[in-house]
Amino acid sequence: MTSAAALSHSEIKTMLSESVISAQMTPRLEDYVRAQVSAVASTLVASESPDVQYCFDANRTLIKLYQFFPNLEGGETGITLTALTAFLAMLRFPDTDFMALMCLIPERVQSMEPCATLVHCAELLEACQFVEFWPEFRKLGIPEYGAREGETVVSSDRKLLSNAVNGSSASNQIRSNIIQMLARTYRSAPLSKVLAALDLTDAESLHKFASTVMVSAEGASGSENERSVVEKIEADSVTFAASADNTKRVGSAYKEGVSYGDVAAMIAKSALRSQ
Amino acid sequence: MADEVFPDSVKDIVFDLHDVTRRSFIHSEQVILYAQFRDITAKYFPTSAWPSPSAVANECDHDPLYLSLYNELTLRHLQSIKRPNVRDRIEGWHVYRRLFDFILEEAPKLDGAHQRETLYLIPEWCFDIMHEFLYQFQGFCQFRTTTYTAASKAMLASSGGGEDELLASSPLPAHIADAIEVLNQNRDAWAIETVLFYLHRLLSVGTSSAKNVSPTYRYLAYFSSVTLSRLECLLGDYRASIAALDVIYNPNAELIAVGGGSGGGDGENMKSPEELVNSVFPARLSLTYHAGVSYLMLRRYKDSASILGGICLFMQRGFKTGQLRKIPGSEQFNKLFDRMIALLAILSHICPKSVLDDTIASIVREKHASNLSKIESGEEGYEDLFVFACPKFVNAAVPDYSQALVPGSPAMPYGQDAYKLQVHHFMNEMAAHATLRKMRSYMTLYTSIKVDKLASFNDMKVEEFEPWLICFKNKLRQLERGTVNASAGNVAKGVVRGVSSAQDKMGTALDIHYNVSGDVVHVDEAEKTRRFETYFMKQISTNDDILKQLKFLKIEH
Repeated sequence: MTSAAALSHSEIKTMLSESVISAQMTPRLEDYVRAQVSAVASTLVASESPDVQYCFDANRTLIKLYQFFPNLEGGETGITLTALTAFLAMLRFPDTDFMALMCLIPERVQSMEPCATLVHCAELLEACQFVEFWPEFRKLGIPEYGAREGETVVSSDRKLLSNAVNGSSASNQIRSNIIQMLARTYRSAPLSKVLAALDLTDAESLHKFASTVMVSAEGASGSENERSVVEKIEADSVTFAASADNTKRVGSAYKEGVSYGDVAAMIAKSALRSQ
Repeated sequence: MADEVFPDSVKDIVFDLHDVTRRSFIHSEQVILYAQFRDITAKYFPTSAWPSPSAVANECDHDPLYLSLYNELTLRHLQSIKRPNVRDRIEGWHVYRRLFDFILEEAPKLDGAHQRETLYLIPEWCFDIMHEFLYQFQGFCQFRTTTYTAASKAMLASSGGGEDELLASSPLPAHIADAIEVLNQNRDAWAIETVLFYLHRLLSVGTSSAKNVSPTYRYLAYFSSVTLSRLECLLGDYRASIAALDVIYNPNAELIAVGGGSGGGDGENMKSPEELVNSVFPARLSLTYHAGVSYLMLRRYKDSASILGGICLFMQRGFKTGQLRKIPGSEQFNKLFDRMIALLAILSHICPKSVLDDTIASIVREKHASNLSKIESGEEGYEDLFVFACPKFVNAAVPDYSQALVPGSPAMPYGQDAYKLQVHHFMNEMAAHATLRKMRSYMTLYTSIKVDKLASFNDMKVEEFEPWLICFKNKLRQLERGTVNASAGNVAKGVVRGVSSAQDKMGTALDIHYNVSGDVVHVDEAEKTRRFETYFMKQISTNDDILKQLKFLKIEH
């Protein structure tokens, strides 16, 4: 549950840049993690909640505080909050945020629910086993999933995670990342495979979703140069927008030429050596 | 305290060092005296401690800051010749706290008001202080864990849970019980938040925009940054380890005066933070090794190979010419060189795009041929290489020592197996590379091949194989450091500035380019780089060296 006095994104950034890590930061960081997950769970888009943005530094700092002061982890609360930070990082896949956090979370916590399922989900994403990923991910949408023996009440943090998983924002964020990964490899792919990878049911839902995922033309900037990641959808195949990644390389395979920077650096080193 | 008797040369060096650090600030003299300190240590105190600070206080006007510096210097020597016990380690903590408190007390004020310079330490001395500070912190964290584990195992044995019946009746060994009690009474010793506080405070004082920051505080700031990077790497926070170096690679950082006397003068050089760090070889080595490990763990293989390969090439030349042997502490260089070569063996194997110099590549092949052929044949070999090469990771949490005294409790304090966590993470990353390498080897043989045919070569069904096509691109898609931004003006002055992480860009470590259209994989030829300029510059540089040598040749008629 978010505190009424939860800090904004800019306040969190200021706190992290001006203060050295200390146990006193823990409650505010925990509240900010909850706020980030709440933002995902709600139907608000980022532009409507500028005060709450994903902040890897804040989430990583909380995990480190749990590492430095295990008593702060507070049993179930800490384990669920760790899972919330891992969930937020997983939404950034294929960025390496999740991987960076796993180097800081003890194996004991990683093996306990809901972290264990999140770790498995991340492994499936890393292996690009997108079809297997979705049913595993949906398990986290059940608040009682992974409850420990004797646990009769589901915590508010656990419900927060379930709400976020069940909301459309998290799924769409993951779909957006997956479709961009598909677009980097495939120029065209069978429609059935793309739908299965994105956990969508038909071409119409794919078309509707793909129109929200824009990619820029190579070397161009500005929204007027952006186009949908999907070029066209036919009866049984999907063609992705052409890019340097999914088309044949144009021109010579030789990288010719000498950059000014390289030569300048070498001459400078040579001049220094001769002094 | 009984009067300690010691030679006059000891009194002289204490006096002289005090003079150059607190009064005259002559860089060149301090360099000589700092080296003389080592010689006197070897001559008079090879297996014993230097006189205590109180015994030499008269030689330095009882200056508390200087006596703290002296205490740190002599403690470093003592702990190198004698294995420290728990009390020695805790005393070490107090020594560093006193030293940093005094240094920060005399630090320039943030209001920028001019104040008389009161302290000058050469860059080598500054780095040695920070390096030893973290070395002792690392040692203490490991000591805590091993003491806990020993106590837990002893309690298990004494409760009859062990196999040895004789041990079953033994109480906790006295030295372990004593260590546990002392650790419990000093839970604040080497506390991570205090260690971080000092590093960040020195960093912020020395890099503030105030004009009154003296060179010493700048040196301490940049070496604190190197130390912070190392600390974060040991804690497993690789992002923070890389980010800690931004201040060194900041292209807009002010130059720092190195050398000369107080207020500048003959022999003073203006150096960038990167040049300052590179001028102290052990600092450069520490920075490079820990950055290399961090990049590897963050899947930035090209950056890791580039930074490690660069220093290994430098060291290889230094070993050949004997230059590196002249640097104090050089006996450690070989060990670190071997570890970096092992890391490069891993990188050269998983990163298809070769970034290694030929000389280093051949050393890698020579030293690790058996491990690499093991991996080629499908056996596991990465773990051995990584375990040999990785740093000694630590967990900074203070254990609950009372748990160690409960029979049957886990032998490792909660969450303390930091080392195992990092090895596990590394092996998780390596798990896919055997399949990816096999895939790549087939793909390079074709310009286009059907997916099902490629899958059969890899002994997989099509549905099982298709994710690997996406996975290959993903695993080797990574951030890369930007290129050096050498402006014409800086090049003319011989100043080469680094690049900050703000210039990182997305790249790929793949050496082939492929895409899938329908059920066909199209493979482009690998991008080849013809780098003639390297050859020409190398020959021009060799020519320069030969001409210089010729100038000094005396030809007798």
